[in-house]
Order: sequence, then C-alpha cells, then structure tokens
Amino acid sequence: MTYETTRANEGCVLQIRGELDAVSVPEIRGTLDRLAADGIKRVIVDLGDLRLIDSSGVGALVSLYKRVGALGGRVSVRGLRDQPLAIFRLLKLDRVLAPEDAVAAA
Amino acid sequence: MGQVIKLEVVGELEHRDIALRTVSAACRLAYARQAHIPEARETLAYVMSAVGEAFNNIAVHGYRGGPAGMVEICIAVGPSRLAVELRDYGLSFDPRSVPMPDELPESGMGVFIISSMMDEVEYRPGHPNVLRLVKRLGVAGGSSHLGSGLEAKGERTEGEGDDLRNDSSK
Repeated sequence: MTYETTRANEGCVLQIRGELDAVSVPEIRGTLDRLAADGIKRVIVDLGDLRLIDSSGVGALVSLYKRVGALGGRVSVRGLRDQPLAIFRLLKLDRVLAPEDAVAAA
Repeated sequence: MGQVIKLEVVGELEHRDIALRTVSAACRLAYARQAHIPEARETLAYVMSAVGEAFNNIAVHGYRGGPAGMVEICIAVGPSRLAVELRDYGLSFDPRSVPMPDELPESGMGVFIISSMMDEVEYRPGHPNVLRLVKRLGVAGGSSHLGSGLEAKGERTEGEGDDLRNDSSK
C-alpha cells in the first residue's frame, strides 16, 4: 500500500493505492488519526487505485468517517471499483461513504 | 477434469498475500477455461474477499497468544465450481455466535463477508479446524440471504462475541 495526502483550504484528499488490509492499516493509522484530530471539514478518500480492501481497512475508514463527522466535518469515498466496490456494496457503505459514486452508478 | 492446488503457509498476516495470490491465480485458471462467463472479475472479488477474511481470522484469532502455526490451503478448480479449504491448528470458534455487523461497522465484519460472498460455507472445529468455501462458477452474487450462510459442523462451542475464537477445542 502507498498513500498520499493533499491539503487545500479546509479540505484534504487522501489517495490510497494497492491494498488496505490488516497488514497495511497500521501503516496509515497515524495519518488517519491526524486527519481525524485536525478538525478538517472535508476529507475525500480516493480509492480509484485500491486493489483490495478487507474488514480491517473498512473499519479504519468508517472510524475516520465517524471521528471527522463528530467534529462537524465530512468524509466521502470516491473511485470505488472491483473488489473494494463489492465490499462497500455488501456492507451498504457505498451509499453512506460514497454517495456521489452510488448515484452515478444508479 | 479438475485440478487441485495445495499450499502451506505460516498463519501470520504477513503471509496472507501469498495465500491470496495463489487463490487469485486459481480463479484465473478456472475462468481461462470458461472465457464465455462474464462474471469472472466479480467472482474473483468475492473469493478473494472471503479467503482474505478467513486467513485474517486464523492469524489474528486462531493463533493468538502463541507462535503461529501453519495454514494448509487446498484449492480445487472444477468445471463448475471453485472450492477453497483452509485448515488450521489454532483456536476454534463458533460462527453462529458472531452478530451481524451494524450499520457503520468498525469490526466484526469477517464472518458476514465470508458467508455473503460464497455460495457454500462449512466450518468444522477441531484439530485441525476446517473451513470449506465453495463458489459456483458463472453464478454472480453470494448466498441468497446475506449473513446466514455460514454453517458450523460438529460440536458447538461457546463464542466470545466479536472475538471469533475460543479455547474450547484445545
């Protein structure tokens, strides 16, 4: 897994590539914690180049969604496809975390 | 004529990718013979998701608190189905004790993902624990009712909620 954050104004784009799973989540947890604690109003998580996600990866993103939301911000996911899209759809998280993608696919 | 692929890896998360890459290659082998089936990518996503969660459970829960044992993986590629069997020698668990994930889950999704993504799921606690996953080729989607497809075989064990495994088989 590789990732990078790009900040602009009060927002941030977090791009995650490769695999977000039980092995790689610890590598990105510090970044997620900082995003959640900084009071950023808008976080876009770009998963267009994510090949695989497991329940640990989903849990990390849901945790970010909850923590940013608790401080009045918003997290959304974009670019879901293949295996990550299947997981998000199964858990019905695409409608919550990726509403723009869900509408586009409807 | 079917093919059987066998793999034995250490039950640690760092070795999960080896297992998944092998299963992925087996899926591609299965579909290489059935190029007319359009659901290949979807099926690959389902099988990879289920096997990944199963391996996580073994590494994180089954072999917790001690040196990791081995995970024996047997992949049977047939003309109409792909079967993956995982055997481990760690702690057993009762899949029926695991609650459904909530609306915004941060954990406890593994069993739900496994049972939803596969067409047949059977778990036999013991020494070894045996988890058998079957995906019918050319059939999109998982079990008809999400989350209830994981059936435990053998003696029922007591669960520990979100923590999937217990010591009852040891």
